[in-house]
Amino acid sequence: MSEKIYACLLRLFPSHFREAYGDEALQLFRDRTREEKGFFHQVGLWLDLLADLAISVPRQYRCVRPALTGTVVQQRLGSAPAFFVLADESPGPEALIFGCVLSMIALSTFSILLSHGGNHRPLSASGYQRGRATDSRPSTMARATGHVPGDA
Amino acid sequence: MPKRKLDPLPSAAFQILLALADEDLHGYGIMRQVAEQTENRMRLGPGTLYSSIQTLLEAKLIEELDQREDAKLGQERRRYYRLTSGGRKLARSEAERLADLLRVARAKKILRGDYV
Repeated sequence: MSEKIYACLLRLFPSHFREAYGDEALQLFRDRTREEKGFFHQVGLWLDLLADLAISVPRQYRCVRPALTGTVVQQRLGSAPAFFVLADESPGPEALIFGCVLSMIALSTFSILLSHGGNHRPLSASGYQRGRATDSRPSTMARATGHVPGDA
Repeated sequence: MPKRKLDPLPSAAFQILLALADEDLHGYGIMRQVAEQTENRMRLGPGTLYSSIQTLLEAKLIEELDQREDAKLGQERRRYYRLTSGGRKLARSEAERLADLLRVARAKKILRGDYV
């Protein structure tokens, strides 16, 4: 069970790190759990691991970004504009949180606009004519001439 | 590939170089050796250990050997690491730098007790 939890936590690391050292990190975890038995040792082990994650995960992401940026700049200088797919890099936690917040803002803005846009009349000509046809109030001209549409 | 500066040499990287000075070790072996040589003051977690190993490999200060089993730890095959001549040179110069600092500290009578 604890190994599965640690395997999930390892997914926080960038993909290149997981591919290179994921199995070894898991093996090291197995070795430590085998040797450090007992409640207090286990608590100590998990505290160590969490502290290690807190330090090394951001460091790994910090190390990746300049390298990628450098590559992009070098390739742009030499040729026409190009697109780069960074699919092998999983987004960091901060990017995921930012994405969630941005999506929520967009969704709530959209729903507010929908709920407050019910009285809005379209500005197209056909919409304008439809609006006039359904308007039951007599116009100023009709009132002046005494001819009110709909009067019997 | 990620690049980390080794100037100044991070403490974890220096400890790994020292751990590999006597023999080739796998990841867990390095972790235990570092814990032993620092009297359990430094226990490298998997993230820190393999980040440092990655940096040292890129700088060619250590090299990776073929996978093999460790008889004491079961039948799992493990990647072993070895100190290169460049790594040994860097470890020596870092040790000399620290020795110089120690000399200054002793001259200033900052150190008390039985230090080197």
